[in-house]
Amino acid sequence: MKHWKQTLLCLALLAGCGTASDENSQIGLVRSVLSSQAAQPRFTALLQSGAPVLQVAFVRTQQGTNILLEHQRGDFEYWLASEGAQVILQKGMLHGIRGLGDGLLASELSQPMAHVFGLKSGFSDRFHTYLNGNDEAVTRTYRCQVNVGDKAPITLASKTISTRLVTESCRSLDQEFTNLYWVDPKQRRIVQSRQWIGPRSGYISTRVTH
Amino acid sequence: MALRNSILLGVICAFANASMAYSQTLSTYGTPGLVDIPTAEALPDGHLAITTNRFAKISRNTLTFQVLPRLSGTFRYSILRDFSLPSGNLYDRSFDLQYQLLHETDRRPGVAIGLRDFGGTGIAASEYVVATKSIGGRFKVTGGIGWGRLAQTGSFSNPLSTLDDSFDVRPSDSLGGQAFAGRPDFGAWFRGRAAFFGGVEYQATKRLSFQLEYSSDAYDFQVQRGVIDIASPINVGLNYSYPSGSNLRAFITGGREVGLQYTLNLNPKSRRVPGGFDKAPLPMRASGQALLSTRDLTSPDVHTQAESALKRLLASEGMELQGFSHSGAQASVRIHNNRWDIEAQAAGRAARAMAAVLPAHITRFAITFQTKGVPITTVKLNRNDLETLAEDYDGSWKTLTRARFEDPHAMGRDGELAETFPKFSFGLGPYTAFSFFDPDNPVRYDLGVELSASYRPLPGLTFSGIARYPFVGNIADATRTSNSVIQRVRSDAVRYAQESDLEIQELTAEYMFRPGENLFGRATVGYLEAMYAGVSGELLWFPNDSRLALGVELNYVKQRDFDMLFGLQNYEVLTGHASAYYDFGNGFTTQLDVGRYLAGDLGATLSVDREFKNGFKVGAYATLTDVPFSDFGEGSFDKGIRVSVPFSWLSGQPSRKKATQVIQPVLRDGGARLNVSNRLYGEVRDYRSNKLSDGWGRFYR
Repeated sequence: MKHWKQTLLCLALLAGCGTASDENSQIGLVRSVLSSQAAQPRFTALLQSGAPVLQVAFVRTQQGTNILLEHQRGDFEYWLASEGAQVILQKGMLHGIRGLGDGLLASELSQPMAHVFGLKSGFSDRFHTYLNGNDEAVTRTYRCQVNVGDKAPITLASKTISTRLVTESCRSLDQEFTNLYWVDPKQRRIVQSRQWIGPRSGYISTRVTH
Repeated sequence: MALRNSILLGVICAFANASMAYSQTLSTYGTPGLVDIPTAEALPDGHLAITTNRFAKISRNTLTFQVLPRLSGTFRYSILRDFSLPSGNLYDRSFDLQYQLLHETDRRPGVAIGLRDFGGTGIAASEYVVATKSIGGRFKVTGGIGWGRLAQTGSFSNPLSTLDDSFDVRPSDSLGGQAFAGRPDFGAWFRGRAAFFGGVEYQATKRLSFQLEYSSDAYDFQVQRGVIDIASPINVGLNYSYPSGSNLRAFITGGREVGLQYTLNLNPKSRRVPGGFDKAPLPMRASGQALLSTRDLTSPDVHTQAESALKRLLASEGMELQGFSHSGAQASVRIHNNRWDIEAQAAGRAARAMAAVLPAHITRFAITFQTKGVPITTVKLNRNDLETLAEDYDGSWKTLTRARFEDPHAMGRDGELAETFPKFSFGLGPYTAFSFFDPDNPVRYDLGVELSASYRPLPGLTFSGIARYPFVGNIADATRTSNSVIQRVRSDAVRYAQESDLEIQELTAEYMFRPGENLFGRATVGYLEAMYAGVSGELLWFPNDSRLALGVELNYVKQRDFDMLFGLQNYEVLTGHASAYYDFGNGFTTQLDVGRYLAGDLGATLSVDREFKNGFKVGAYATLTDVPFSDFGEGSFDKGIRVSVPFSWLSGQPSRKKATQVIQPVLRDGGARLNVSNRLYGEVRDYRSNKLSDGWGRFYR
């Protein structure tokens, strides 16, 4: 007698259907979590249109993927990952990140950019704004020393590019990190890099594909 | 795909690392302490600690909240097994407060004063003043003086009696005991004999610490009843802190009883994933790069194109476009937000969708948030500001200073999309219901299916119903019937569960409207809630950027039949309140309701909540009415605490869903309020400018 009831209950639990504010039902939430693993339509569209590709990886976990250029506005490049994360670069330097759990909202990089692309050693300041766990934007200042190092050839799929390795060592009162940029001195672009996101995620590496 | 998983892993590791330095030992009473005795330490501001333990025939379950940097509040539910014959357990609810008089410095100890079990049955009633000092990096020494239960061993005459002889005598338990339980026992505090207690904690490693204490709490009452065996005033404990910040502890009380305790520490101020796993927002496009950048919106074709593109982009962002119009250089959208619990983030995403689509001649965006199709607040932004500030390192703040908030009270149905109304929606899914603190079974539950449906033919006008069918559960198995001596307006809850099968929870017609600037109105008629049917009307005055809101509500209701179908009982009542809501602007909000409650009693409810910007909320309320404490019954007056946790706080995924739990130690008939749905303050507040500004850090997320 009770059997049909349990069956119906299980069905309701599993199916949970309706139009009523789907996203706010338990089922809707489960669905959204599950579907987060699927490639996003925006990414698929970019893939089909042959958008430029950047290889990225998280240094701490050694996990990597390819991300696609979705939009460029002035110096700013918006790169999209298959599951919907976003990496914002300013001429190849890390500016902000979305959807990866880390709160790096935006950065002010004019001083380090002048050193890196001018291939000039010296001191500079950079500012990072993080979203903290209470949804407040908190800006941190770092004092950095930039060193332009020796020639360091990088081999891409088709060719070898001669680059200079630029090291940017930064510290604040309680944090320190070292960013590395392999800069093509002719085109003044970053071919490969290792850049610090924040204390939670550590470093991201980037590498152009051509 | 792997990228996100690895990041998730990294985040979890980082979360663990971030919490590593912190490990606060909590006593068996769930407050900062050694084994049984308190210490003069506070949890970090805003932290929440949940403790459960078991020793002898006692178990204590405690929730402690660091309300302010110096003030903590505690709710405890203790079970003493076989306390009375035959095999009767004692279930005891108690509240504590501790105030940090001095924080510890290099030179002096921290000093705290505390009240343990200051209302309730008083079986743990005690007061204390305690000092704690760290010595070197590894030792913490604590000493204090206690009264009441903390003066059962090694007691001496009260030093306070030098001030006044009345401190010599502590009124006996029969005065402060069960009969009058539930209200503060001012007359007993710091009275009677006093005793010293003390102890030391040794931090052996980062994770492991030892506690050794001399406790003046001898469990006299419990020893008499055979609940615990105490052979010595010395207690010892061994605490292990997990990287996540939670603690597992083994301890020995009174030399005989071995116990185990687990503590979960939560920091509401910090989401588990600060940035969240929200899908990437649309990139901020320059007006020259918009889909229709060179077109003219005054052409009907272009308008239609813009509308359908906006509808699609907003839908992918979890928002419904309900209206679209333009006038001169301004384009306006009306949206309903289904996804973003931080409403500023919805505004930011809607603005970027507009920037991605609209022609370059549109330079101003007006985004109106709607609830049930009724406009609540309009956010106005300059397109140019967004383009300049989207990548600014201080962009969120600068955008906020340039945003304007307006009250769209006279907007009418301008630009409303034809398909917005009528709207039919339904949902079928599981539900759970809980009933706490029944002495026969402290946690009762029901699990079943819930069918909800609504039909909205016009903005603000909603016909809706919710029906439930419980499949499994034991709420209806409760055998305790109401012993209330006043009108049974709530205490018959068990009869409702027992005598119903299919439950009609709500069946109403509701109209929400804007009677004027800064004013909101609601009228509801029908089966308003599980136990009452009737009419309900409400008016709310709530200006944008005002910390104060005022409201009045009037209801005429009849009690529903226990079968929860369509019949009504004879009891009818006119009930209503005048309410004042105040946002202190520092995370604390308060609400005062004065009026007539369901049993016809007159009185007021005061509630205070601490709400973090990420939406995590912890609060407490108390209601005093003209029902005498003795008539009210157990608990003396209605009070409770509530915790609300946004799903996004836990999962990192955006969602407007929250897990909310009210802990009401006893459900009685005095001070009971009608549970009509969609009270205006709750409906409106999220989209008023103060709340929108609170979340503005996420505007560009």
